[in-house]
Amino acid sequence: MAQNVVTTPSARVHVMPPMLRGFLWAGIGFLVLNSITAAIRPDVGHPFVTEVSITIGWIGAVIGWLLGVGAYEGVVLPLFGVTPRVGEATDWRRYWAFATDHKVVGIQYMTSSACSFILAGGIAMAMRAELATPGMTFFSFSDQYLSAVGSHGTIMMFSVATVALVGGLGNYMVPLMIGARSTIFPRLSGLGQWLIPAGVLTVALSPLLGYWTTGWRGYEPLGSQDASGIIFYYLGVAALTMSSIIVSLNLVTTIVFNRAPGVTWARLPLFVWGITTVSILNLIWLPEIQMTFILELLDRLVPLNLFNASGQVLAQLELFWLFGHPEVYIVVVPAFALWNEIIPVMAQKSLFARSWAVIGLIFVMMLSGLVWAHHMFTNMRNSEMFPFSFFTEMISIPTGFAFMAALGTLWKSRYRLTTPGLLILMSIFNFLHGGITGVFLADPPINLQVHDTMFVVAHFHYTIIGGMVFSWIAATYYWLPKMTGRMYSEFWGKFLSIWIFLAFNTAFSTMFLAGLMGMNRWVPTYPPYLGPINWVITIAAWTLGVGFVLHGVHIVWAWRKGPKAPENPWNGHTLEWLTSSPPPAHNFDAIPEVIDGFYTYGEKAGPIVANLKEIRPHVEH
Amino acid sequence: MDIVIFGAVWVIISVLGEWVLIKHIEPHAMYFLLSNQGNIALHAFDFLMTMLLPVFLLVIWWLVWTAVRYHADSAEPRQSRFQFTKNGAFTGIWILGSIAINLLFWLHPTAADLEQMFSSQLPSRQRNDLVVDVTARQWEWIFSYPQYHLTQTVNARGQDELVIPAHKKIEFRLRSYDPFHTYDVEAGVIHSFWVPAFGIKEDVIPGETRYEYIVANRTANYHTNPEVRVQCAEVCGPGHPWMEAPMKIVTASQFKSWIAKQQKLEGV
Amino acid sequence: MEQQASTTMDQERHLAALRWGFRLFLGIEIIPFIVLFTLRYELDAWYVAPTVNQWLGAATAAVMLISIFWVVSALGAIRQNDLIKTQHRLKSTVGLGLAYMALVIYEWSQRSIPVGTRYGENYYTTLGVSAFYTLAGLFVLVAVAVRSGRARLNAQNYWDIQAVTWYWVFQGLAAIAFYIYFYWI
Repeated sequence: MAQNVVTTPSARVHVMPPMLRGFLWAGIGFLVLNSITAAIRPDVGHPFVTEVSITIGWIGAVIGWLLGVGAYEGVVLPLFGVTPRVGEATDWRRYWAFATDHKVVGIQYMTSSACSFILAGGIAMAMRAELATPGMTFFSFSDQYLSAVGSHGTIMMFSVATVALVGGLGNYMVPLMIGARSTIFPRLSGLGQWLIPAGVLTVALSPLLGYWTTGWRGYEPLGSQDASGIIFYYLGVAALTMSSIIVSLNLVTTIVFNRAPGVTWARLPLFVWGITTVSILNLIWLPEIQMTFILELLDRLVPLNLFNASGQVLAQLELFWLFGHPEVYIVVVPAFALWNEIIPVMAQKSLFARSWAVIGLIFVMMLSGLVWAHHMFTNMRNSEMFPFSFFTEMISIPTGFAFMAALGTLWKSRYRLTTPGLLILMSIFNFLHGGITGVFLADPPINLQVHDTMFVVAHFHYTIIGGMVFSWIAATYYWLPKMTGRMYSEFWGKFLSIWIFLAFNTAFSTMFLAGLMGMNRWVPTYPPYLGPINWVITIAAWTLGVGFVLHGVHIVWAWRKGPKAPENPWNGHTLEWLTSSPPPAHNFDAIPEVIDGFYTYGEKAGPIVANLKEIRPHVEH
Repeated sequence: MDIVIFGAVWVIISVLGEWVLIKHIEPHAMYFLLSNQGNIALHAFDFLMTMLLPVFLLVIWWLVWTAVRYHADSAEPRQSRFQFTKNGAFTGIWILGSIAINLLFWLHPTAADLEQMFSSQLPSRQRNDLVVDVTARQWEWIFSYPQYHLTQTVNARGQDELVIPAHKKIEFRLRSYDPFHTYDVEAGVIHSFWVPAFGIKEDVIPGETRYEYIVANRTANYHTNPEVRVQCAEVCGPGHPWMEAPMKIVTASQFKSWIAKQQKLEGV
Repeated sequence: MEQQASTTMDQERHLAALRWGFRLFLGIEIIPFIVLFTLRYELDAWYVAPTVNQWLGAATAAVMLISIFWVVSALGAIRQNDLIKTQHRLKSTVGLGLAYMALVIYEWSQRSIPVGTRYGENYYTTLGVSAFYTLAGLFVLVAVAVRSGRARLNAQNYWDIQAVTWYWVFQGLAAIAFYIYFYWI
C-alpha cells in the first residue's frame, strides 16, 4: 500500500538501538493496554493484572515491539503518507532492526530460528536429564516437566521447523534463484520476521504465569483448566504463525510475479517449487489454526463451553489436527526439495525424473489435508479409520517420488562427499526410517498399540530432525559461501556431521524400542524396567545436543574467520551463483535472461543465461 | 555390471535380513502381548516388517553404494560420466510398485484386521462374561463391577486394582468424569485407557461412553510383566505420570475368591 | 523512450503483483470464518434463538450493505480523477462503519441473545471476530483517508483506494454472511 512514498535509505539511523527501543515500547504498550483493561473491567477489587488484561496487554506489547524495532518509520509513517526522517542502516546494524532487503530478512529469520533451536534444544536436554532415571530428579514437579515438553514442542514447531527453511533460506534464496531483485511485499516481510522473537519469548516465558501441561497440541478441556501459562502458549503461537503467513504470502506472490524472463514453471528450481507448495499449505492451514487457538483462548477467558463435556471435546482435536498434519508436511516438503536441489550439483549430474520430483511435492501437498485424522485413531470407528488409513498409506507414494529422483540421480554419478553432500545422504537415510515407521503407524491395529508412546515420538523426530534439520544444516553449508563469501572447514564439517548422525540414530532408534516396550509419552517418571534403555537415549541425546551446538560454533567461525570462498565452489547452475558473494543489495546488475534449465549437466549442458557478463555486479560489496 | 553386483548384494542382504527378522525378531516384536487384539496388531506389525525390509534395505544399500562406489575423488567439480534423466523401467517399477504395495497394505493388514477387530463389537456378539465400568478421573482409574455390585475395587494397599479372569470375554465401559469432585462431577479431561499387554488403547472423552472388548489368553500380573498395567496414555495434567493401576489376570477360581473378598470389603 | 516504456511495464506488473497478493490475503482470511461457521454447525446445527432481535439485525446488515456500495463509489470517483469526492466518500464510509459498530454494541448491551447457550456462545464469538475485522477496516480507511491528501492519488495511481475498498468489501461481506448465517438459518 505504501509504494507511492519513497523512503530514501540514509546513513542516519535511530539514536537508540532499535531492539532496545522495541523492548521499551513493548513495556509501554503492555502497561497502557493492561491499565485500560484493568480500568474498564466492571467488577471492583480485581487484581491489576488478570488473564484478560495480560492478553490485551500482550497485544500492546507486540505492537510496541514491532513499532520500536523500526516498523514505526518503516511501515506506519509511510502508510499515513509521511516520509520518515531516518532510513534503514546499511552497515551491520541493519541485521538488528526492521529491514526490507530480503537477504537481511532471511539472515534474521535464520538467526531467530537457530537461537530458537538452541533454546528449545536446551529444554530437550533438560527433559532427557529428567528421563535418565525412572524417578523425579531434575524437575521437582511433573507440571514443570510438562511445561518443558510443551515449550520444546511449540518453539521447535512454530519457530524452527516451520520457519528455518521457509522464512530463513526461502527469503534469502528464492528471489536470487528466480532472478529477482526483491520480494513483492518487502515491508510486510520485514515486519513478520520480528514477530518471531516476540512469539518465542512469549512461549519461553509462559511458565512465569504458571505451568501448563498440554504439550504443543493444547488439547481441551485440559487447556482450559491448566494454569495461566497456557495463555502465553496461545498468544506466542498466534505471533509465530502470523509470521509464517506473511512469509508465505510474500514468497508465493514473488514467485508468481517476479521470475526473471525464461524462468518458466517448467524450469523453476526444485527448492522454489518446495517453497511454493509449502507456502500454499501455510496459507490454507495457518489461518485455520489461528482461529482455533483464538476460540480456545476465548473458551478459557470468558469462559465458554465450546470444548468441554457440554460442548464438543472432539471438535477441538479435529480442528487442531486438520492443521496439525499438513504442518508436518510444511516441515519436510522443503527438505525433499533440498535433496533434489543439492544432489545434482554435488554429483554434477542431470537431475533424474525432475517432473516426478515436482509432482511428488504437489501431491504430498494435496494429500496432506486428507490424512489428519490418523492422529485420532483412538477415537474412531471402523468407517472413519478406513478412509483415513487409506489416504495415510497413499501419501507415501508421492513421498517416494522424492526418493526416486534422488536415488536415480545418485546412480552411476560421481558424487562429491562434501559436508552438504554427506548431510543430504544422511537426511535421506534418516527420513527413510521416519517414513517406513509411518507405514506401521498408518495401520490402525498397530497404531492403537503404539499411539501416544515413545514409538511415535521417535517416528516424528526421525522425520523432523532426521529429515528437516539435517537438510537445513546441509543447505546452510551449501549456501554458506554464497551468503558470507567464506568457506567452512571440510574436516570439521564432516566430523561433526558424522557425530550428529551417530548420536541421532542411537538416541531415536532406541526410542522406538522404548515405545514398543510400553513407555508412554508426557511422563517425567516411568516404571523402573524402562530405566536402562532411557539411560542410553539420554546419553545419546546429550551427545547429539553437543554436536548441534558445535555445528553452530563452526558455522559462526566460518562466517567470521573462514577462508575466502571461490565464486561458485560447487559449480551450481542456479541463478544465485551468477552474482557475487555475498550478493549486493540489488542482487543482479542486469536481470538474468534464462535460456536453459538449471539441472542439465554433461555434454548437453549449454549456457543457462543469455546475458552472463552483465549479471555479475561490477562493484564488489 | 554395476546393476548386477548391486542387485546381487541387495538380494543377499534382504534374504539374510528376512531370516534374522522372521527367526529372531518378529515373535517378540511387540515384547509382550496376551490378547486377541494384541495378536492382530503383532501379526500386522510382522507382516509389514517382512514386506518393507527389502524396500528399506534397497534405499540404505543404495546410499551406502553411492558413498562407497560413486564418491568423487576430489571436491573439484567434474561432470559425472553418465548423464541420463529418464529410465522408463526404473520409474515405472518404482511408481507402480509403490502404488501396488500401498494398496496391498490397505487391504491387508488394514482392511482385513479392521473387519476382524470391529466384528467383536457387533451387537450379535454382545454376550460378555464380565462387565467392568472404568472411570477415569484426575488422576485415578476407578474400576467397578456392576454384576457383583462392587463400586471400587482396591488391593491390600488401598490402590485401585483391576482383576480379570483369563479366557473370558470382558467388556470395559469407559467414561471420564470425577465422581469425587466437590461441585462439578462433569469436570473431566481426555484420558486414554491403555494396557500395554492388550495391544490396544482407547481415548476416554468427557461426555461420551466408550467400549472395549478383550479376551486375555493367559494369566499374568504386573509383577510377572510390567506391561500388565492400566496406564493413562493421553496427557491429562500434572498427575498424568502416576495415573496407572496394577492389574492381574487370574484363573476363574482365583477371580471368584477375589470377588468374594472385595464384596466382603465393601459390605455388599 | 524505450526505457520509459519498460519502467511503466514494470510498474504495471508490480501493481498486478500487489493486487494478486492482496486478493490472496483476502482469500485466506475467509478460512477463519469457515472454521467459525463449521463449529457452530457442529455444536448447534441450524438452531436460531427465538429471542434474537430480527429488526436490529436487519438494520445492522443494511448499514453494512450501504457502506459497501459507498466505498465502491469512492473507488469509482478516483477512477474519474475526482479526489475530493473520493475523500468525501471514504469519510462517509468511516461514518457508516462507526454507525454499524454502534448498532452492534447496542445489540450486545441488550443481551437479547442468552450468553450461556451454545447458540449464544457461537453468536458472540463470531460477532466478535467479524467486528474485529470491521475495526481493522476502519483503521485502514482512516489511514488511507489521511494518506490520500499527501500521496498524489489520481486516475492512474489509485492502488491505495482500491486496496482499502477491497478490504472493506471483504469485511462487509463477512458481516453480512454472519447476519444471514446467525439470523436466518
